[in-house]
Amino acid sequence: MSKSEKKIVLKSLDNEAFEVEKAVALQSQTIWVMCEDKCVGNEIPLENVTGQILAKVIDYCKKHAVVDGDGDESSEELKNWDTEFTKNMDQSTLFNMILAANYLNIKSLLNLTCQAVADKTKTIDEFHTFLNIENNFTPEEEAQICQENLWAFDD
Amino acid sequence: MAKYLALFSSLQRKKRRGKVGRKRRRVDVLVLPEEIPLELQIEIMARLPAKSLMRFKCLSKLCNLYLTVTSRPRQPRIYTSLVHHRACIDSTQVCHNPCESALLSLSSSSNGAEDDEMSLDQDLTLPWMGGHNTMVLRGLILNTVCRKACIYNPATRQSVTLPAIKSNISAPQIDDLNTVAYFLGHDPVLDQYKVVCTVATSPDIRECTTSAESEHWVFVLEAGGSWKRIEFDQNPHFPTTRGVCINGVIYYLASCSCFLDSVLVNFDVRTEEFNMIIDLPDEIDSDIMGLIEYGGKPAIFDQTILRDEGLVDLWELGDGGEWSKKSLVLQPCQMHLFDDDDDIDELVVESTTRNGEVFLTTYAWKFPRYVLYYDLQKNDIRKVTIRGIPDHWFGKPYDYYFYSYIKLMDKSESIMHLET
Repeated sequence: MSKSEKKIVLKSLDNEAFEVEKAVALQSQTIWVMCEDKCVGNEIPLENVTGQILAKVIDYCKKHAVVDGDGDESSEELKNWDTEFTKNMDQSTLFNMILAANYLNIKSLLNLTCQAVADKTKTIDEFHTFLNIENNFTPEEEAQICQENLWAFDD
Repeated sequence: MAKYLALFSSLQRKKRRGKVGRKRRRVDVLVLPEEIPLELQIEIMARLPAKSLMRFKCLSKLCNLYLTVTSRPRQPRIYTSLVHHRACIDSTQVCHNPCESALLSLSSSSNGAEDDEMSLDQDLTLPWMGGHNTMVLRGLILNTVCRKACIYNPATRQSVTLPAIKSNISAPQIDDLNTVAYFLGHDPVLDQYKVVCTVATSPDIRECTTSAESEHWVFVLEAGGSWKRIEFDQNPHFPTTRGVCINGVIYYLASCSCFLDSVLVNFDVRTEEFNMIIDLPDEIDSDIMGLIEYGGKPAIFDQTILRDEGLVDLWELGDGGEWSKKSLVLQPCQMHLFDDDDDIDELVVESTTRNGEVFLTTYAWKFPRYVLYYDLQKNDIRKVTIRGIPDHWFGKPYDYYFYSYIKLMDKSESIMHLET
């Protein structure tokens, strides 16, 4: 197999090109389908992902491709790596990572990033801000439902 | 699901206009959509802890709606209910003499060693939580309190007590045995929960001159539900075990006439009919062995000589209603798991985990105590120690007066809203 067949180029929305091993890229179901279809060359344009986010996604895929391949690292180490990976991401990066994982269809990454948001979300305002939606209860409705669930507020 | 998604979407239209602009400015370098699609919002909500969800329920229509429409499977948990005093073991006593009890949840703290440990978190203090009649199904706990059925959802902390049954069976006479046994069932076709009740009386065991009586009732768990009597034309029976619900059918063990014959009773949750009653082989002692789900079917697990001789029997029910026995010998290297358990009275078969392991607990007065997971496929046993409970929870320095029951809530943590 020639070198060009083993590698694949991913091109981000802002025209940044990343050359990666095919095994790394194929963790994305979306890319896998594109390659299967053979209607794309060795360069795959990803119109919904910026270079900044794509770089992180590739980091994740590289890490997971190696481990799945030869089992060098224990699942414990991999889990720690995952925790570190999302730990210092700011809200907007996480937000975009979720969208990217969804678009690229990488289940484990989607799971990881959604869990990271859930873990970081302590108040409803954080949740609403993150999702960019507003609270639409009237004060009366809010008071009634809060009364029914008082227990959830004592820490 | 499509209906619910449509509901979510209609909520979504009320966007926070002002904030959208602000948000866009903040992330405009990325030039990406400023909102997360609905299905991804649901993904995130599914991962929030139940407590946060319940707290958010008051504050967000989206969360409130999510809670009303979904019941996604959540992490498995073990619950143990601790009863404060010996007198409370009999739940009928609690009516006259309420005592302190608590529901505790166990969190796993795997330390990598073979002997895993778990610690206890207090979930809720209840005036009644108790007994060996407790049944766990799909994240809900059914308990009998003062002859009434009580359903508790630990994820939402809702509890509902069903009305008393107006039974025609007379109050128990001296030496008579009288029971009100409740079983919780779920119909996967209509996604409906029902509580089935068998009221039974059995005459004096020693005399055995008159026959037993039993009455059967059903309650659909929904707003405005009520007890409905079920016609039953087979032999009366007296339930002797907790039930198990497998794929829309409730099974429980019972005895007919004078405790001589044990039978397996089978109730279809959707059609509300008792379909067949199957005789048990003579070797089965329905009082001490455990009725479990194994491979999607009812089975009886005989653990009585596991601790002393390392042997277990599994009785499986075939499609034609015949029983077949499978015997297993524990690996000799695992017999040491039972070495230092002088305080253990007996092993109790509790349920099966979703991985098909048989979950065994112990009747013991003291902490620390342990639970066992027996993997029948691999013939491998795993022991998990439960550490002691902090003294301050009950304000007493002694563990001796606690009677505790351990339940595994493995299938799911339900966030179903209980109608009251």
